[in-house]
Amino acid sequence: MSKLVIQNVGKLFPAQHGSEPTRALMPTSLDVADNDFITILGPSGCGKSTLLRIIGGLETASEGKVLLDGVPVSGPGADRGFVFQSYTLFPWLTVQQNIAFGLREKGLAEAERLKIARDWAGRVGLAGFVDHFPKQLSGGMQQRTAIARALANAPKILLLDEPFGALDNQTRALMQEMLLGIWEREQKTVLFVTHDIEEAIFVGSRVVVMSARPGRIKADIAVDLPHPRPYTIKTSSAFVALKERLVEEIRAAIVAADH
Amino acid sequence: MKPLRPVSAPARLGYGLAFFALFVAFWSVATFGGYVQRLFLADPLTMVGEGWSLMTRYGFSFDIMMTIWRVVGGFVIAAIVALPLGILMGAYKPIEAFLEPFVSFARYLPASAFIPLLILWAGIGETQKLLVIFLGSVFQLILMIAVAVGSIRRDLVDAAYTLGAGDRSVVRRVLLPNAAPQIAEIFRLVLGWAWTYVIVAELIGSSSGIGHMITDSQALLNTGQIIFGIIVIGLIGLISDFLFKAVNQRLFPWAKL
Repeated sequence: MSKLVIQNVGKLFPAQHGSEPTRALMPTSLDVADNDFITILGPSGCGKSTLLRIIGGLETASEGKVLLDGVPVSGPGADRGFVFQSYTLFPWLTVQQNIAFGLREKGLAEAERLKIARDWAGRVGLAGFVDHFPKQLSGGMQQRTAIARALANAPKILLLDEPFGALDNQTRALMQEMLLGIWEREQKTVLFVTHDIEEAIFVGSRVVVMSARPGRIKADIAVDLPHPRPYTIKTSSAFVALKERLVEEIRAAIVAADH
Repeated sequence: MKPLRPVSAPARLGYGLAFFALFVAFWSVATFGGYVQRLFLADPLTMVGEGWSLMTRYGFSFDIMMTIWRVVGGFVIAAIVALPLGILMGAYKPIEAFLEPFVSFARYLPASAFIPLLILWAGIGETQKLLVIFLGSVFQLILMIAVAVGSIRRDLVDAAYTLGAGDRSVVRRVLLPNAAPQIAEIFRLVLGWAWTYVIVAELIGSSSGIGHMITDSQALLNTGQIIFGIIVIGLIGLISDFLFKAVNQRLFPWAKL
């Protein structure tokens, strides 16, 4: 059975000052299997972030519905962990307290909260930084903490909205490996939005390509690369072939939107 | 000098003291040099002498304590009223829409202009003095706290919701800690303003306090005492500012990192 079912979800921004209403997302359907890692790939303005925010409950759909384990989604909740592109750690909390933020909402005792938080800090390689404030961390470390914070809540699904978009290339590559490693060990259902083709292939088991204006799903391509995936796989012929295909798809999507 | 280049801590202290020295030097030249009549402006030495006799013979320390107690008392009451109102206004937009227009209007009512009315209502006792301070600071505090609480990055609130926080939790665990350093800074600022109200309140209908001493000295044309009183107010302001800054840095280390 599908973990997450997206049924004809669309988004229409209402008309303002006499202008036409803007369609950000055509009615879109997508089934996500349990423990799948799906990347949503598309140019900017294709509505991929809007779709993810609707699943996260941060925005309401104009039509259609989202079902998680068969239950309709209404509003944000701890069952859907969210990692943002911007740095969203709470600046007044340390790394450990940030990771434990959601656990307190669940009513866990403090000792247990801190134990889980320490454990997750270790899993994202920040064991030595638990008492640091966000401002003392690099961008990559902040995003690692944000991922740990979302996962510490044990969500049913992890939603990532271009989480590595603001990082430099080297850091980004390391973060991809770390995230993939966590996914291989923990078995999580993940939806990962990106505009980076290589990133979409490397971490994903399935790449959903979206086109812009209005946003809709254009292609749905399985990534048949074995796990665990070392970073060297990026130069393998299978990887390069997939990349060539996706480059074509994305180019076509952008050209179609511009004309 | 290069624009925006920082100065070292000792140099900063030196520059700061240098201006005070320059100020006193200018004052000395004006008074000792005979450019200004003694009747209008006492020289620095006379001022120190008058200050000494005020402290030792006329019990001026009691006046200082009275004034401090009035400022702090009125300000604390204002803060106790303003904090919950400001937080509610900042967090909940309907409450803001309800209160903001009135508070913005009331903010411009000059506290000193209320003194005659307050004397009519509350007499010339302590209540009237506290009310002047209260009226002068409460509306400013409410508005500034509301802005501080409301000015949070939207994505931090979104993040809290996706971590399972409820509406009240978002106010308590996100909006409040986010605004806390700014609120402390607002307290520091408005307390400074409260000092100007207390002196005005004491100039009229008072039997103690720094402002009262200043009016008495005016009747005796004792400019040395007046200047001493003004300098004491400045020093107290400097000390309270310093204390506030030290406490804020201790309480909110993350804000300055």
